[in-house]
Amino acid sequence: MLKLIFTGIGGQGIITAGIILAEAAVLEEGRFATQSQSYGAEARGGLTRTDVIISDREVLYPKIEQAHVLAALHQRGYTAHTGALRPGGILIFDEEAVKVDDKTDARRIPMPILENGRGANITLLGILCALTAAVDPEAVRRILHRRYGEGSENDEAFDRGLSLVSERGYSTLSVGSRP
Amino acid sequence: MNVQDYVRKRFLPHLWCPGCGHGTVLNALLRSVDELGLPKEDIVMVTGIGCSARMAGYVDFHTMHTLHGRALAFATGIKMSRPELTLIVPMGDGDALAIGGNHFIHAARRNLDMTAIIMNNHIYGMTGGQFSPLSGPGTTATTAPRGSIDPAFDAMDLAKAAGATYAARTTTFHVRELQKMLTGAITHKGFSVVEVFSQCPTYYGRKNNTGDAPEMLKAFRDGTVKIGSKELEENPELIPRGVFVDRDAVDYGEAYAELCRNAVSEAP
Amino acid sequence: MKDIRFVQGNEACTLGALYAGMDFFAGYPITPSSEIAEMLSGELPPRGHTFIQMEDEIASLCAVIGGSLTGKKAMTATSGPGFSLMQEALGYAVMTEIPCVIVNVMRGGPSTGLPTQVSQGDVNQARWGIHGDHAIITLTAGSHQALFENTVRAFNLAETFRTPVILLYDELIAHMRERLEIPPEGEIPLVERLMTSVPRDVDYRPYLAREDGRLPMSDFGGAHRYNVTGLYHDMWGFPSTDPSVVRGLLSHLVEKIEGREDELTFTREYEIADAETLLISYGSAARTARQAVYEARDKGVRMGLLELETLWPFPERKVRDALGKANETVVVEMNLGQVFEQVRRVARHPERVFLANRIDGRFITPPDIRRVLRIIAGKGVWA
Ligand SMILES: Cc1ncc(C[n+]2csc(CCOP(=O)(O)OP(=O)(O)O)c2C)c(N)n1
Ligand code: SF4
Ligand SMILES: [Mg+2]
Repeated sequence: MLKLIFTGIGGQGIITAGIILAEAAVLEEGRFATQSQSYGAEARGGLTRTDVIISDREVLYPKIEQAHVLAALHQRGYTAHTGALRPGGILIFDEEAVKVDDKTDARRIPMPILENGRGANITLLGILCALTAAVDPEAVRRILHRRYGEGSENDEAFDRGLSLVSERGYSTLSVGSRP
Repeated sequence: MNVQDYVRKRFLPHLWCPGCGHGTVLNALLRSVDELGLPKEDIVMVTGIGCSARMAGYVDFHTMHTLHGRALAFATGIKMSRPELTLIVPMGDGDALAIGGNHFIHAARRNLDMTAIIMNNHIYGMTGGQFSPLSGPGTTATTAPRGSIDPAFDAMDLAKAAGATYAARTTTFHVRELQKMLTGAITHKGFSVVEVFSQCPTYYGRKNNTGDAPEMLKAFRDGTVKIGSKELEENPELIPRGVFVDRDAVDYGEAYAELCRNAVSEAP
Repeated sequence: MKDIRFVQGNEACTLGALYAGMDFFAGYPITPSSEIAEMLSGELPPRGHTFIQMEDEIASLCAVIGGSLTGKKAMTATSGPGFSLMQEALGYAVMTEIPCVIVNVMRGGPSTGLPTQVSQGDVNQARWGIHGDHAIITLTAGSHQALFENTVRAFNLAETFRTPVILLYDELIAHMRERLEIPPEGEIPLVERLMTSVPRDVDYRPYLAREDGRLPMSDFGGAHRYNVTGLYHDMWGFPSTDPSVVRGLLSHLVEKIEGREDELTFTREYEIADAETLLISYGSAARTARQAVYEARDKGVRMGLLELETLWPFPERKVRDALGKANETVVVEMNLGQVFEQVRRVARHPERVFLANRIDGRFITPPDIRRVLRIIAGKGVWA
């Protein structure tokens, strides 16, 4: 079972990224997943957060208290939700926009995500796929094609994410836990 | 057909008090339906709650006696489902414009093809003579023993402002005019409103010392005047009668049918 | 090929309604139900079916009743404040026996309450929101698959019993996305309206029930002209205050539902056979409860779950049967104990029934349940 939290501010496509990832697991890989997000007062001020759980068994409890992965595209999102990352979890963050507290117990993965503009959320997906093997990159790509058609700029953004991981010298990390 | 053929005889005699104006409205309505030659099976009457609403029980149409103030909302559901039916919605003044005021303005705004009849006796008859939003200042009522201070709506202004495409007012004294207006309203395509001053001798009459039904009718005769008439110009305090609005506009049912057609053709 | 989707609960409900043949929707936007109206505003017009956004929830349910009376499968969807406004029209639908489905996606109440957070506080309102004695059917669901199925079921029961059916679920289910498999057409049987066989011009008695209690209907505006009223009425639909008519109608309205507990009550059982500790839950809370059961089983603790999918009429027999086997029972819900009270009412040993709940707009967690179990076991809370 893999628990991921994406956080950022409105307009960064955080929620869409969460949906695409979970959708790829369910529709393309025949696995189980839930995606949920905070609404209303919690989501005011533009802060967004989405929780994605991917598992080989039905996911019953969809909220995340201890994430394996936290991806933050905005400082406020990082500050608000870093407590939900389990000790030693993976923290992916935009290297320009987010300043990570020295005391955070996490494997830090600073990445140039936001420089990909409107495709930043999809770049994040590429990074996630390459870094965590959460979902097969080809499964995500098929969802991207279904949603946006082939050859959209999202394909490029996704590839950029995939290649960033090797460019920066990371290899695939093993994450997640038995259900 | 005979007007009697439109009546469910086993439910007569009706429950209205002697001298009540509501029976006159019923009579005129049946004559109008007869004149138009509308088959009974094509007419749906929806009413709310009140003395006026009792009409649904007496007519041999498809009849639905619903909730106080909500008749137009029920009628909206029926009309959207079966646009070919003729909808007639008689309401009391409280029914239509107090508790049902919101539904009234929105039905008018949509311009749904149906006929709303406001049987305006300026009082809550059914519940025993409390004032309504059409009673007006100075009206004595069981909830206004010292005279009401509440300003009244003008149903015609309201209907017009809300978007009704036909609006007319008359009284139970002017029976022929009433029948003509009902005919005009029923044949009109769009939301039509006929406001009829109807006498309630039992509560309005007694509380306001107007005398009995004949005297109340005389007051309707003397207190109202045709719109556009010289008499009205000379006596602006009199209440105007006549057709206030009669215009063409796309009715909601047509607009919705077109929306559906377009939605089909844009589908892949 | 299987039709598998990844959708929000509100979409699962909408898709279930369309599967059931719903062809009339009237509603007024309110969080957390609005996605249903939004989706239907796109889906219904190309099918030539009615979508109308009314001026408020009162009008919405009135329009739905009008649509249904004229032969449509009609639905509205709302949340607490709107459901409160609908109560008078809901009573009308009960009294006039007009089938329809009312979706109430619960939020925290009373009043505007917690519009975007999870709660299960409307269970008793669904039962007793309307005035006067009556019976009502209320279904719920704890997963999108179950929500889809129970939406179809809601329409089927509404048609079978000629009654409004309330579909009550919570914000967590409404907004969360998960897998939904849409069954092929025909896999879930649909109940169509029972139409009268009385020919035109022959005396049709719209409120004369058949021997099996069902009322054959004639579409309003069709072959038979009749009267519908919210007053007590005779078999022709005309007002009556005759004591035998009044007694007869009220007992018919109640009996047709309360007398059919077995046909109307749906539950799911998990690990119940040898359970020493029984959890009873419903809606999204049942997900937490099931999670707690599996975690307990992993540690060798004999725990089981009875998940309710019918809340009203209350599944008395099924609950009582399940209670009989357990040492203690914990009702898991997100309110002050609305189903808990029902369980205590039917329990032979109410002192062995406990409540694990949350009322703060947060989703109930497995530790919330374990805390109550520790107290029951006399171990206290390790705060
Ligand atoms: C929700 C609700 N509130 C109040 C009533 C009580 N009530 C019944 S009829 C009525 C007023 C009737 O007056 P009007 O609509 O003018 O009709 P009339 O009897 O004068 O024809 C009232 C207040 C009700 N039936 N339902
Ligand atoms: S109370 Fe007034 S409105 Fe009602 S029936 Fe009697 S006279 Fe008519
Ligand atoms: Mg009145």
